[in-house]
Amino acid sequence: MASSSSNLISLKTSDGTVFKVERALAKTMKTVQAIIEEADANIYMIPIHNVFSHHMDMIIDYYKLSVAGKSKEFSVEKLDNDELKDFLLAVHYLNMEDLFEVLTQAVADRLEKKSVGYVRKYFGIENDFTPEEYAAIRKKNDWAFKGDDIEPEEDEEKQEE
Amino acid sequence: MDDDRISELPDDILSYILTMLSIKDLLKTSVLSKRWCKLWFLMRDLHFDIHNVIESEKELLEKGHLTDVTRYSRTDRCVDLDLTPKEFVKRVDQFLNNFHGTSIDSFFVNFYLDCQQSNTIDRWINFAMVRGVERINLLFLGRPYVHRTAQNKHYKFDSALFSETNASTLKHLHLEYCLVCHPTNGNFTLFKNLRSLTLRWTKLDEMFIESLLSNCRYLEKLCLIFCEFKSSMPKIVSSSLCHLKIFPCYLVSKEGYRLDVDLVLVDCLKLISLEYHGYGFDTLKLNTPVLKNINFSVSLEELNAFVTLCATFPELEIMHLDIFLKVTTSLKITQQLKHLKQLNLMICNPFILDNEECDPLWILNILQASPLLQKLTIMYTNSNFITNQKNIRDVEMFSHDEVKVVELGGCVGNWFEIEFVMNVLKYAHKLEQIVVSPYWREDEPSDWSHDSVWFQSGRKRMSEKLQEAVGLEKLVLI
Repeated sequence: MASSSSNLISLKTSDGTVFKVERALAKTMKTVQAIIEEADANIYMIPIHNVFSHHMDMIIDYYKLSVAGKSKEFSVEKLDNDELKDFLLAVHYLNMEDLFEVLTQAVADRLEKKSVGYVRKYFGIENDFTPEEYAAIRKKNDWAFKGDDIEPEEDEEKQEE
Repeated sequence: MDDDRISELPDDILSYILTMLSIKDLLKTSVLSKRWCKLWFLMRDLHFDIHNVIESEKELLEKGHLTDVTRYSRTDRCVDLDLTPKEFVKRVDQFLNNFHGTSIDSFFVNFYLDCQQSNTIDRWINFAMVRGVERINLLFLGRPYVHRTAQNKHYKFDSALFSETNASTLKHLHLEYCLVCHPTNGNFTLFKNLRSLTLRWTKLDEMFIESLLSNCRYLEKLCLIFCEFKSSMPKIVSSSLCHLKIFPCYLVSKEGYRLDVDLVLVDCLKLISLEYHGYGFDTLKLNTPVLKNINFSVSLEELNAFVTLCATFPELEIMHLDIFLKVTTSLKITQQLKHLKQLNLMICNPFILDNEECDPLWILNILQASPLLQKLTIMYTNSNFITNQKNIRDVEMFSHDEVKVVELGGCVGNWFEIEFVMNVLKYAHKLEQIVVSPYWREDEPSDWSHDSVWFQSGRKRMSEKLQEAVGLEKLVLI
């Protein structure tokens, strides 16, 4: 079991799995670090809310890559928007600067150069503007809405629900 | 729809993501929904440059905003001055006109603009000031697609225009390729809370700097880089300044010639770091008792005088020197640098050292004068392999009990490099590692260079000559 003198810290995810991680990795999680520092006695086990075991798997992957100087090889391409959003929230909760930066950039990359219609369809964002309001906003920065951006596919069958 | 997962992220995360988008993509998100529109206004850092306002480099070339211009057998990538500034200004204006955020932290513009856009730029600065901005960067050289123009066309920064309110939130100001005038009303309110000021390729009267220094009680950092003054370098007198950086500044004579202006006085009781690349070392007066870090350019002949001066700084720990070898003479260092922990030397054209009178082991003299030195880095720039290689000497009267790490860069396999390595290996008793590599570069943003002679023959030569050397296990040859 973990004590403050050992090199491993026990973290318990929301789905009940216990991960024993290196102290150095725990240090990259500012939330966890704060809990360790505030505790008077030795910490037995640290529960991490909002973080699931599949998140921890990815966090450990990223840590291993970055220690080997290969953090650029880390990819979240296989995650869909749902999963990416949940992962981002978990990392945000744990307050992990570098990984947070990587994930927010990943979301930004998914938004880059796409047309409004594409983004709306891809992320399922509901348009709550009236047609007049919508037209007015588009007009204000008209140059941004011109040009060859990536449009959503017209094919109904390919739509994601 | 109930798939709006990305939107379930809280506002602060979403607006952070927005800062990573180009202005164009950012504006597109503003029509997604009312909430996304509001997120745009939560942005606190407004940064505008050619890539995020107009297009990526590839698209700029395709659309004719950028062209390759060849002049005197040199090809530069230049911005189309007819199309692009107008479009840039129009887009930034539109953005700002529709921006409903009431508070921002930083406002940066990096694009070629000049006095033709004066009114617009004044308006932008006002926009930022009204929103409590803390950092302003106005870089009008337009890097990396630099465009130079006559000085009388530069934008004129008149702080009096922005000094209406009593309070000023401005803490960091960086101006490039501007004219800075003394505030017409003598009012320095705008700068009252300034913590750092950087002026690059800027023309101004030295009186402005001197007045600024006495009016800014909190100024910690001042950088004057390639600036043009009226008749002399300002005297740097400040009770708050901690960091000072000066790159060669000049004045323009009546006949139109550029003449160097030298730094003459630095009287700053709190100064921790000083970087000066210029001349006039013999007339320089420094009152900087807590100086920790110094970075200068000196010629080899001035070295002893420089070290003597530095010996008077009781807290000096880090020294960086660019050494120009004009005259080769044997060098004695007469004073000690008692607290120096780190020394970085950049030695330009070291092959000049190959002269009967020169004693290249002068570096060991400096090492000896720094008894507590932990790390020594030497970079030879623009080195050449000398045809008549001399024999390697054992210096015998050398000893150092502290230095742990030595790095030698820009090597080509010259005899004086090998001689230096051999003596360090033998006589630096606490040495953990000495790394020898051919790579060098002039300054941070430049690319690394190296001379191929190292990999062809220099490295092998050094390796052979050092076969019998004491302490060989500490040597790392790249």
